[in-house]
Amino acid sequence: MTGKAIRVEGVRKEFGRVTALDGVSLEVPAGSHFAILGPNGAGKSTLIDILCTITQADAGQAEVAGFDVRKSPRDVRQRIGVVFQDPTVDTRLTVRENLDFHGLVYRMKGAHRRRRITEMLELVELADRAETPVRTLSSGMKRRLEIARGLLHEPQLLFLDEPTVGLDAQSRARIWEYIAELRTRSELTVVVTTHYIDEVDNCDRVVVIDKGQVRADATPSALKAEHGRTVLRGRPLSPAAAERLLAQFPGAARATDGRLAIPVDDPVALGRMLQETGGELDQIEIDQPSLESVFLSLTGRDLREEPASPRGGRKGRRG
Amino acid sequence: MSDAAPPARQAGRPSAARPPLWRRLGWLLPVVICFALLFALSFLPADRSLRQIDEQGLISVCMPESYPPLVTGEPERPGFEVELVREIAERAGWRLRVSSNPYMGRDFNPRAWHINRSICQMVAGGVALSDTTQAFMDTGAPHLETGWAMLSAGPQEAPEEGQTAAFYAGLAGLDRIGLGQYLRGQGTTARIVQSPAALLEALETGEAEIAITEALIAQTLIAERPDLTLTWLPGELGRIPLGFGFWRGDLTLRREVTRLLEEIESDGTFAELASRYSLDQSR
Amino acid sequence: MMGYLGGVYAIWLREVKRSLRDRGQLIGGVSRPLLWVLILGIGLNPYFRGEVYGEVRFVVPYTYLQFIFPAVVVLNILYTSVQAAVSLIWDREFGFLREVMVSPMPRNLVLLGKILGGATTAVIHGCMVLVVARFVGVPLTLMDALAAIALMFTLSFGLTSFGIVIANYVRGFEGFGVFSNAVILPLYFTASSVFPLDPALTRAQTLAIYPEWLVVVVEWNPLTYAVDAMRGILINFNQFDPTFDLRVVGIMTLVLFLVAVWEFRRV
Repeated sequence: MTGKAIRVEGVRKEFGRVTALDGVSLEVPAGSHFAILGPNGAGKSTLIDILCTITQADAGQAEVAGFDVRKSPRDVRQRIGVVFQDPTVDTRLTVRENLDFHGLVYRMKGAHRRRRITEMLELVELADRAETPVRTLSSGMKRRLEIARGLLHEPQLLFLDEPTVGLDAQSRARIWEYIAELRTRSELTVVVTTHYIDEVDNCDRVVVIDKGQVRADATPSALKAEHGRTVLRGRPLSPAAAERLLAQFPGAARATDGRLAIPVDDPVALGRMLQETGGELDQIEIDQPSLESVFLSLTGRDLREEPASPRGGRKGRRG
Repeated sequence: MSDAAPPARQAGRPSAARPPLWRRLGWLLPVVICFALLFALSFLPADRSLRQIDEQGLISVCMPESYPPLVTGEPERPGFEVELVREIAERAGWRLRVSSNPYMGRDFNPRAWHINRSICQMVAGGVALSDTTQAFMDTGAPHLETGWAMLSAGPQEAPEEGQTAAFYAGLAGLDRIGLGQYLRGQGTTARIVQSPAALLEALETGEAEIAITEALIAQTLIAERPDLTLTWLPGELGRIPLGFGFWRGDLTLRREVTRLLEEIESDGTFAELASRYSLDQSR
Repeated sequence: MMGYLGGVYAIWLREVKRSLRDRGQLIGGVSRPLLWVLILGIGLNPYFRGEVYGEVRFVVPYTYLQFIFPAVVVLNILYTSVQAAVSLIWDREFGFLREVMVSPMPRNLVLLGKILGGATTAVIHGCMVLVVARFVGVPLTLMDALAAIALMFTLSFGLTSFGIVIANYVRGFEGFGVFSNAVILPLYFTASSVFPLDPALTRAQTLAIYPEWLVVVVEWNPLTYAVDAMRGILINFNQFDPTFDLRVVGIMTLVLFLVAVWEFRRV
């Protein structure tokens, strides 16, 4: 397959009165690594669900691997692997049983299935855990298992919905290592959603989604060049100081940690700004252009504004 | 929740080998254990009936006063059931007390036998395993089969129209009403006689062309008169299982008696006894 | 469709493996025959005798142990089948359902695999009760056992479908105790499982002994006929017409399966 792995045109989706997706259009070239960036609640997961044919869009068209998600969902499903945001492994089965289940459901023949299982276990370094029950694995290992499972049936596309949420830094790094390794191996198209800015730097292309709309669609470096700004961060000394600064700098935004993020439009003027704000802020930092600042300038909000909250009121993990 | 140090990547080509069978079926083990446990527990004694008899060393068995050939009342040839029960008691190491019951031969409903737990622990001597009996007591596996049989001078499949049948009822528990209906349907007249011997007499004098009686009696008669032909009456009339009766809930006793009976059957003692009383159970 | 048989097998196998690995469920499967047959059965056995001549009302020609034994088989099936509902709720709560729903398998086959898996487990649990047949004094021939297993399978297929329908309406997982007290035990107790409605009595006579509401509930409970059919197979005792029993079980299974198919579209 050459050309487009995904083509989305004017997709809308509403849940009751809430508009999750408001006319999203995008294209993902085959073989690329594609990141969807946005805060929680931006509509990333809804978009993934539509592409995975789990949810139907209210309007618009979406094609995955050359098939319309609405007309031939089964063709789409056979060609994609999905790693959901919340774990979907069966904790009562062993690692191998989970993979075997997946292989059977995707109609893989016996010997081929067993060979792929061994290969995938080695890819994610779980070969020595094959016979252990999944409930005894750490969450990082579970996530690796899910990646192995998503790749088992040799999909053309792999969707990773927030693959590193809830993992510690070390596990996160490992996950990205595997994903990077995948790039070198095959023609696989990888679509990742994340709200960790530092995780999208290595992608070929980034789409920024906020409030159900696409705000930008470019390579990470182009985004930085175009929208990147230096950001001045600091803690206001008093609420009154915060109010004053917010009024004075229209681009400024509050972050969850109580600090203010003030975009610096002209790096030359930085000195003057420091002077102006120096009396009202402490713990001052200056962020160089990054995707984070790109996001800030695109959406007028700081990515860290909202704390990551689990979706749908799920309960704690048992069993 | 951080991962342990990454395991060394395994060397060598990935293989498609299946894991060994025991490993693939290992998950069945708990179920097997459960089945084994329940099976083992089902060997627990369910009541004290057997214990009590073992402790006293005595079993009382209710039997009819006379019901040849199962119970005859003759000391040297006491009857098939008497000898069978004696054999069972002997093997179990119990003394046997036979409690002769005058009501048993008269009525087929065990409720009318005037027996209770204090009189006997077991009922023998031709207990028909019918619903009526089972509503009152628990029964073991059948070891004999009876029903209505016909004796005739020549081979004949069923009573024929215009024939007269000499009839001796013998044991209770058999469906006389059903037989009566059947005979009427065949157009046969029945003449009731009072003893087995009277049956043969009736055939000899020509008073009747055929004789109908309970099958076990017919079998002893044909041992005396091999020139006659014995035919079982068809359908339900011909198949009534006989066994031992026990009181409800006396599971352990019933189980032990059944076990001994199987032993007696398998070592040939049963067949020997049967042939001594000319019982043909080969059907 | 045929290509997905492997998938049905995978879902079936997972379902069976999971429940057979679930210690709680296994303990239940073992303890029910123990409690109901060995304890309750023995305890009530002496009171179920007809040895007092004269006023004997019930002519159930069996010991209480024998009488209750087929009902306990049904009870074990009932518990295990409805537990399939719990399995589905877990799948939904812990996300595994998404893994299946995003796979190319058609939904009806996913459902079929699940029901078959639940039914298989239920039959295994039913067989656990059959193992104590010796204790109860029920002679079990191979043909009887096979007929019982066939009936168990039909019944548990229907009851598992029922469980899946319930699961669709239960949001959040309240624990199995709710199911047990609100669904299973009421169904079981009103199925003429622990007391007989004497088949020798006319309906008028039955109503003279029991209050009408109880008789009506028993008569309208489809499980009554399942228990009766099981009694017919295991101890040759029927309170109702055996063909009617089988018809009720068959229709119930079919209807529940169709409802489950209908409900599963929107899981």
